[in-house]
Amino acid sequence: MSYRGVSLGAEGVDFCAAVINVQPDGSVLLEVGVHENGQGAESAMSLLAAEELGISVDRIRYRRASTSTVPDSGTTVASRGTIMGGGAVTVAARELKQEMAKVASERLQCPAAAVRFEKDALFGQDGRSISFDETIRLMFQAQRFPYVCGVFKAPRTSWDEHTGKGDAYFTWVYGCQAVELTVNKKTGKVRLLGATAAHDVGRAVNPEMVRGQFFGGMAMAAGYALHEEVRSKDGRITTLNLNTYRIPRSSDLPEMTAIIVENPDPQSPSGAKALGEPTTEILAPAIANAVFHATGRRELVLPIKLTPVPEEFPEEECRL
Amino acid sequence: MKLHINGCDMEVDDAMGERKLINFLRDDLDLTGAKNACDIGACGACTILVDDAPSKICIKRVKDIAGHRVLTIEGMAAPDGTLHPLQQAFVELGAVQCGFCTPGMILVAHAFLLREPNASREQIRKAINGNLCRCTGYQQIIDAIERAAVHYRRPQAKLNPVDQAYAPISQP
Repeated sequence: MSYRGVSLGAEGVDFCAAVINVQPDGSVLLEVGVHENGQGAESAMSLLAAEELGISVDRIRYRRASTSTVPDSGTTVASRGTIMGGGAVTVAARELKQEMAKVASERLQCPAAAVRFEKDALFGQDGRSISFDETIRLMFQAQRFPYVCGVFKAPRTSWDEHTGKGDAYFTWVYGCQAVELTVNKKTGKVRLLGATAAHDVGRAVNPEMVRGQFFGGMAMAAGYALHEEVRSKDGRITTLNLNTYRIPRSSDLPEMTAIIVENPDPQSPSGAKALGEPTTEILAPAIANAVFHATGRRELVLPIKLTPVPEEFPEEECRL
Repeated sequence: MKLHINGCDMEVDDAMGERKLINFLRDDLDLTGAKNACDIGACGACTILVDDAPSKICIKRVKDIAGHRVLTIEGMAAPDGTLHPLQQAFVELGAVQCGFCTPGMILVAHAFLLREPNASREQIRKAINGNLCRCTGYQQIIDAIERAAVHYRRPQAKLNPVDQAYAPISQP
């Protein structure tokens, strides 16, 4: 008999790569070493590339990354997608702009460093401009191919593995969530009345999706705070489907409010910071605190189960 | 056995009647919008409309839709590909993340708004209770349904989606 384990732990230096490959027709192929799991990486990466290159997002074809074409850039974990992938996209786009500016600078009669990229065109200092498409055509003519691989390496941190001291990561996120709830005296059932979250996201690349991550994270947190539980019997898991493993339904959740705090991080090329986990982590403690305020009971195990409810409840429904 | 799916009439052999409906739609007709997730009718990802009423088809057979009018998510957009105002609202308000629940959500909301175009937010929240979503917390889904309700207050909303061109909803 052998024991086997796999883990992802004490980190090395984080990095991510992105490839931008502009085609002769001016369409932009983008590949990033961050996998899309539905969290909106595709749209965030495309928006960042479009913004940096001053082009319309319609030009961009986001290609599902493969390690055969873009360096393996690690996993979609640790809320690193937008900060690391977005960093790589921004670095790649800046490198591409340098190459394009070199080719365009003669036509624009200005130094390459002064070329501005906006409205699908390149602008010189005196109002001269050349379209993005025309610049790409000139590049192919000159056999200077508009293909770049940008790499963002996370800045070094002061973390010391042996002493366990120092900064473990190069940027930090800040957030706060609040919840209002009632506890039914007879059943112990917790009903959420409202929840509000404020998070420092660095830069909200795609604000609707940022809001979506707030709400999704809070919903998942409400689920594991109040109902979600993997149960087992005789060593076998019994909660095998969605009828027994109860994730929140729409009527389990309250109206939620998202407050986006923008505070671009200078260490992150795109200014964006992490969001996935922060939104998921702090509603459960808020719910536990609200339950304490309502009932005086300090619940330390999730999911919170308040049955049987103690007699000392003063009212039929205790409201925070 | 006669079937009527997304405005198309078709005839299938009676022997097909016992085939699981979700497999028939996805594998035989390539209508892959309906998803088979829980396979026990708990999550709603497989929802289609049968005579304008939501039906969780992972627990249904082909014979169950014989002679009935079926609408799947593939039938919601206009034939030229223009999205239905309800679909457009989902896109604009960030109501789609991984997209797995989206076809079922849209069809349930469509059936609901056909009946209740003046529904309150709380009624909308109840109407989608049978459909699970792990990504969105339902907030923006409810926002989208609320916005799209404007379309359902128009007379032409009663028409089968496959038969009409859509007028845009003005943004509030």
